[in-house]
Amino acid sequence: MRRRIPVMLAAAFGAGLLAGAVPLDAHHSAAVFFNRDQMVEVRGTITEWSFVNPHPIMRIAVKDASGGTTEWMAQFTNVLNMRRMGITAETFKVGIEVTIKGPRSVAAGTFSVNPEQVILADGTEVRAAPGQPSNLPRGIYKPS
Amino acid sequence: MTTRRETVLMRGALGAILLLAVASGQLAARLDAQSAAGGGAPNLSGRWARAEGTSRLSPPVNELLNGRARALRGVLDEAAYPKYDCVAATMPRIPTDGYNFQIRQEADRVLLMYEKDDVVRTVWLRGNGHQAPKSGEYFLQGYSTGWYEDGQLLVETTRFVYDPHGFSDGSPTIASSQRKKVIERYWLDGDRLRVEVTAEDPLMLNAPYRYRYAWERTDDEWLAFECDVENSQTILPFLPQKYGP
Repeated sequence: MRRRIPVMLAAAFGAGLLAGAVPLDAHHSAAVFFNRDQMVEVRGTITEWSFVNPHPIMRIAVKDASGGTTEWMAQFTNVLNMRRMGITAETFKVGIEVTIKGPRSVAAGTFSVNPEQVILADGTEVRAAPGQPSNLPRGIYKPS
Repeated sequence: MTTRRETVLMRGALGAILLLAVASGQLAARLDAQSAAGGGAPNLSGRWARAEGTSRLSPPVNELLNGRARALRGVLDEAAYPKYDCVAATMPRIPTDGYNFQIRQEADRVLLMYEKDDVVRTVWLRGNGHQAPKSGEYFLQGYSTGWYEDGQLLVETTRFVYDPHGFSDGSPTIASSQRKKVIERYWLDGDRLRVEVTAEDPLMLNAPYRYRYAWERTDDEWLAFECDVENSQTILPFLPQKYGP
């Protein structure tokens, strides 16, 4: 059963992360789909991870307090940008728990997030917004 | 026995032959170089990464739109944009993204290859007998001809098809018409490659849209874009509907 759950946390963060970089533009404008005035934090289990262009997709099963589950879709920047930030198809696995922070989808009744950070169960933080310097060891991202 | 006068004449003739040989060799080498990359051609070949942000030489394109373009921008629907079917970006839009690109200079053409959307553009160098498009032939990336001038590569591209996001694929997009013309100049400035782009479109713009940007050589791994149509359309259910399904 899918039920609407409250957004776990809304917070304004990440402002200015894009400053000073030459971003790889998204295939489409994120502003059409995501509202930067509504930042969310979504915690759940990955049910699908598709690392393909134009926008890698992650589906997450999110449980609420009453035992219901809602499927969220996280739509990332693009494979090229993410690979240069050190993120690969192996960075995330189906079945693991993640917490995703980013702006929420604009369309009413939809559950999607544009990740800026993904936090793994062991606390590892994966920066995922375009233009952010990589924090991953094999990152080859080079800010301009 | 050879007289002194004959000796001088022979030496003179030998010198002239030698000079001619050297000159013809130089000429041949120069012709080879010209045929390989065009006269006065800078060495632009290689892989390039964006070195700095875009410098505008005109107002932003959304401030240059005529009434027709503004009206189109108002009615076009995000869900119907070709990019959701992985149709590639076109000039002058392509290089405004920060993706790497590469140049390959050949004897009769220049290839411009972009990570963005895996676009490959062929610039036909003028004077090599290439056949121009026939009447009625238009192309997504247009038809590009090029030439070298004063150490610069110049590229002129016309014959674009109408493109709903030919000037911007932000939202709302800005369309370009079949009358779009794009002029690019490429030159070396120390280690930097500088590129200036001028785009005209009498059906959409009141004035030319111009910008300049810079690149630096890179050893970055070349990454294919490989746009996946199914993935591209995954986001559409999350789109606020303008006209309904």
